[in-house]
Amino acid sequence: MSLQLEEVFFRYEDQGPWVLEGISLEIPRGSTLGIAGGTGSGKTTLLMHLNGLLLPQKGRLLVDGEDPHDPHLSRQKRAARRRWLRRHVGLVFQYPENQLFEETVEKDIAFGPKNLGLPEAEIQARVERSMAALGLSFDLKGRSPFQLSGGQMRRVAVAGVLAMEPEVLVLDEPTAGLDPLGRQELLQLLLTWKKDHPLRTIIYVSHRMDEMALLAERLVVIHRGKIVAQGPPARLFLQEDLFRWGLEPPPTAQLLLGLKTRGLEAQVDRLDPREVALAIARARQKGAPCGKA
Amino acid sequence: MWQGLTLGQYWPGHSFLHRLDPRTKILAVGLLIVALFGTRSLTGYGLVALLLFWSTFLARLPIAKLWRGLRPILILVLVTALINIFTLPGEVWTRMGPLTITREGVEMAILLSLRLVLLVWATTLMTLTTAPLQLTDGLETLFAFLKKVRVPVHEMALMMAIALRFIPTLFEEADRIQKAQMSRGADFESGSLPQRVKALLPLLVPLFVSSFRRAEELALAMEARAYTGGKGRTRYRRLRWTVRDTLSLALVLLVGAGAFALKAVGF
Repeated sequence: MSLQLEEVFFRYEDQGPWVLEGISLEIPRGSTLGIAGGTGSGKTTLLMHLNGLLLPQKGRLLVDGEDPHDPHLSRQKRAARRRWLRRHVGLVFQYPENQLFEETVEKDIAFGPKNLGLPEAEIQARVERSMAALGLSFDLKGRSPFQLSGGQMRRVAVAGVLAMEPEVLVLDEPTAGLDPLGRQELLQLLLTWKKDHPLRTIIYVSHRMDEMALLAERLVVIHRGKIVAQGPPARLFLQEDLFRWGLEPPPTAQLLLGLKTRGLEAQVDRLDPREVALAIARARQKGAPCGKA
Repeated sequence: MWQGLTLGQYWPGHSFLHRLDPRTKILAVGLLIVALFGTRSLTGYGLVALLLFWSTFLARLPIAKLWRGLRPILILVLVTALINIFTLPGEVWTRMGPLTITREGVEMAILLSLRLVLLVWATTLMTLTTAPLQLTDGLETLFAFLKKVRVPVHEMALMMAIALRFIPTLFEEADRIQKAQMSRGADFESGSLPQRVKALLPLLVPLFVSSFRRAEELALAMEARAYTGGKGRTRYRRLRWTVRDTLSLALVLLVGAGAFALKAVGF
């Protein structure tokens, strides 16, 4: 499923400022897109457009080339398309553990698939698949979600969305408030999930650029409701001044930039710490004087 | 879904009504309520309406705001009016099939509708021109005498202030949770009544959980700042009673008494 936003405008109050101001964005099937922006930049508002929770006030959203909110369609058809959209675009909100409500972990994860009207066996299979995908032991099935640790609650909540088996998985700052280990684990699990489902799309929102460097193929920076930059994360981090949008380039990028001002230029495709270290080593072998002064 | 519920929200301003002591406004509304329930004279209601018109003008509120406060009760007004028109016995004016319209019925309907509208108008005017914190401060001082009989007036006022403070937060939270559950295929909009009530569970449980958590955090934060209850507590904003307040209250009292007097004279 491909998504496309065309000149989308949105604001919460009739006369208020635009929260989204002419956002155009193409998200092809199977891509991994990062959306970055400071607080209040409009990230979350943008996400809610992707699965039809909010409708663009100007402009439109195209799903596989079709507009689910097309005013020429009948009311029922639009409602049906909106439901369809919500099922195929899985949205993990910020602090998703706040939406847990069932008595047991198993029931909570099954909530989504149940709403899809799937047979019991399929629901069971999906619960187990998504628990496994998020590294949750099946022993937790019968536990109350409210007794789990913060990191586990977060993963149960993400599993609840994953169990819908969405074609597009949208995550709004999924690692916020997790400790470094929990953060690493969640990121790795998402990467694995993506590798196992190459045709599914991940849209990842964060203001942590190290996560973007690891995860995103393409990064879009929004600032005050507008897209101000987009491209491969490595390129953006090395060429653009992220600080003016309230963001900070990852340490690896800052290191490369620092070395560049001292005359050592290393070429990298990805800002993974390992690759950056290798690239610096290669650059030094080429005989660039670095640190010998 | 949660946007329309802004009934009686404070509208900041510096008008005469805004600057009145909250106690004046509370007492004035109390007096008007007594007057409205105590008299059944149309001219008396007219007098009250006149006062409210003038106050509204003084408050410099956008009319749309006031209208928003009144709109939700219009259906209630209409229903009570209709019931009265058709059910009260008395001098028959016309018959419409099994229904009869009596003079007494029409009079009662007008009176009751007016009473309701004036009541809500007065209270809306008060809540629109008084910040919630001031309102609770006013109530606390007015009921301070109950402290003598060990009623925890301060604590109750604080509870009210906190409740008011968290209403918008709660709505925001409800909105967010609702959207999250909708993303998991929850359906809040269709189905039979029992189904719909059941569908609210995924919304209410998280809302309760987060409310309790928030309450606990707030209690901790208050204790961390050495809150120990009302005894010996001083205030940053003190209520000040001025001549303005005495005069305003006197005017309201006059209008109220006037309404009673008109009834006694038989208008």
